[in-house]
Amino acid sequence: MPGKRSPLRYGLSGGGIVVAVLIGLAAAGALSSGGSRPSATGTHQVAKPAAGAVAVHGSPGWSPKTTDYFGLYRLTWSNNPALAQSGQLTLFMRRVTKPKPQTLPSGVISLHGRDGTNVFYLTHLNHVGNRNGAVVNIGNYNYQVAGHLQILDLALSHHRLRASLATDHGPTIDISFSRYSPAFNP
Amino acid sequence: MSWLITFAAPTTSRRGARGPGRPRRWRQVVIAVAMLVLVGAAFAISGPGHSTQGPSARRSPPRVSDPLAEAGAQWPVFGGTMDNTRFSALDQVNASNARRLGVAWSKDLGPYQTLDESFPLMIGRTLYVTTSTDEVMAFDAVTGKQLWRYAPQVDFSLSRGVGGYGVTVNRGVAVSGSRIFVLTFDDHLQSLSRATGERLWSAQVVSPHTGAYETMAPTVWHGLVFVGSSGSEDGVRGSVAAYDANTGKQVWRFWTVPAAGHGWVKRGQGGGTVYMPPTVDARTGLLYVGTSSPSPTIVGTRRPGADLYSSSILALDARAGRLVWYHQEVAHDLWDYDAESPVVVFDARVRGHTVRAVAEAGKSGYLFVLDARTGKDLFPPRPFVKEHHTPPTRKGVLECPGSLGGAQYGPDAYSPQSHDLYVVALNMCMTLKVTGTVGGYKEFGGTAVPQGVRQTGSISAFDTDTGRFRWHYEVPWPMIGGATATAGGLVLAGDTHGLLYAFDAHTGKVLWKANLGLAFGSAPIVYQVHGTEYIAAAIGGSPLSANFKWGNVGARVVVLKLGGEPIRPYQPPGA
Repeated sequence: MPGKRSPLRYGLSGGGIVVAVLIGLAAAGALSSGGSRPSATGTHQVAKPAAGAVAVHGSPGWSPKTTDYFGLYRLTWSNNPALAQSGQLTLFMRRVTKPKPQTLPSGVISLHGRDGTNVFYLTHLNHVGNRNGAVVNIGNYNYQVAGHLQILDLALSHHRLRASLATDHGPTIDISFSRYSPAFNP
Repeated sequence: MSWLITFAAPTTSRRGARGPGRPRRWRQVVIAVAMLVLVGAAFAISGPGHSTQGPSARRSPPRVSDPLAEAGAQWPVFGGTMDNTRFSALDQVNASNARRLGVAWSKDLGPYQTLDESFPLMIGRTLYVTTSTDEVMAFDAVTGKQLWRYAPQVDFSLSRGVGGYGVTVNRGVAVSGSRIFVLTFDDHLQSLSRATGERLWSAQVVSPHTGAYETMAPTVWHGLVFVGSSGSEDGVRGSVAAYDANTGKQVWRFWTVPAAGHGWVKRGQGGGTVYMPPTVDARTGLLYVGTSSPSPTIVGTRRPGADLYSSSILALDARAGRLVWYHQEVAHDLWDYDAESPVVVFDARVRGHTVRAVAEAGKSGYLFVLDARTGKDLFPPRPFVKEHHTPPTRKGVLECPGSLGGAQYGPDAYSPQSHDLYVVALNMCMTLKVTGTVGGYKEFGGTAVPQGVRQTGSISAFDTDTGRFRWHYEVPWPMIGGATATAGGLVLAGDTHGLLYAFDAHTGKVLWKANLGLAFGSAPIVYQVHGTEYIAAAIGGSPLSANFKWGNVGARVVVLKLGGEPIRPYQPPGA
């Protein structure tokens, strides 16, 4: 990508209420993150948000501070080796250009299992109190909502993160990551 | 109603050009000075389902230049033959029996696999397919039994191109002897064992931090692996390179546009990327590539001049990487009219002489047929979609085709029987609006909004003997994956809604069609094992299919044969 990125401050509001993040999934599965639809050859078009778009509860970003989580992680454990024997997680600030130029905290999870490789795109990072979660998309960041991610346990000082990944077409799996680099674009 | 607007404009074809740093002088650009030459009306376009055809077809013995094509039983390279003709010499499935096609076997590639633009290969008795997460899968071509699966560890966090929304597809592998070559999204060229899928070596071909990413299938010839890259929309500087097939070491690289600070390229600009597999003419050792548009895409004030060698067909010495000639389809491109579909090489009969020819149908909506030795037009460029062009403005102007084409990346097919080229297309006009010098989408320079209630598609047959389109068929959904022709007199093409068509190659009549349930993002292949002919496709759609909701997307391999099981409504995994 041209230029070097630096993470922007992402304002958060905290709260003490622990509420599960609820995600409604569209039947067609297409989510617009603001109206712009890219093409394989790089053209932008303005499109309407899909019917039944995802409802995200909670406040934007992760508690206490989203950028604290940024970086590169390796999978260290999962309870489902068929789906996840190894993998990577990247949390970073993603630059988008529609509906307006902005940066959005985002993530990508690649899981390599006996059954193959699956890639999940994390959008709409959110929190309710200190419960952090994200919308999970497949295909790309705004194509199809496939489930949600909930952070179960976090030890940032030890660069560890454990999460639950719940998807439409498969089992909910618990996955643990260890951060090996705080730089998401080394 | 016919919608053809003629322009007179120069196209540029040069032999032995010295490089992209010395463009011709042009006036200050307000109006695009270079467009395409149109001579005569090609055809009348009417509503969906209409087929027009020209003079009755001739039949002549196929002129086959590739021994593998003569065998016809396999599909060993991306385009069926090294010439990229996508022609199968098999004729068991033909115009008289295509309606009996049914399912031999099918396989879902994974519940979370979404989108598939893979162009399969079949060698021996093994079918090779890729997924959008860059996995390579080998199946028994008759039974569908999975033989092995290779899953590289790829950094998809760099899938932030195209305005930040990402695109990850993989268009297939290349095979040479006992080795398979695959490109990963994060710009690694990898060599695998064809027997086991074990990785032999991996080489980084470009830096992903430039914004470049890989989606193409490589091309292999004489111990060299040829690769381009994607990313012109992010200002990536285009190139095509050759790597040693044994070691992964780079042998040569040809940059398609100047470096930043040289020629027409300012800081942050680029373009001219090579999205699809290069074509090698094994007779001459020439490598043909199509390049993308320059960046910023619709703002030309920062890049005066022709912007060589963007939106062009290039002929390179395959062994040395030296430019032999170039033919710029659109000079000073302001519409994102990439020349991205693979170049087809064939023998044309022009004014009584056999001429080695190359052809490319671009996003511009024009088909270019050139002398393969010199790059000169053999025929005037012919439109295959509605055409209307003006330079984009801040108020917005209607462009036809829009910046998605025309023809997308999908390859054309050439039949040595009919002497026709078959071109699939997307019919979509757009309003292009400049939003700032490099505001908004940094390297696009504006917005492109589709016009019309719905987008449609078409397939057209171009007679290479006369230089004119012979028939044209409109379909309700865009066609972007390409076409395949067979000696059975068929042209096979799928649309973005999931319909696979078998057209009569000579008349354009629909002989058979079936909804396979998932959008087509690639073209079928044809092969034969133990006397049975099969038609195979990797279906699942492209990002376009997903974003425009033209059809269901997913990832699946479907193989058809005569007398196969009835084609049932598709059920997604887990349903």
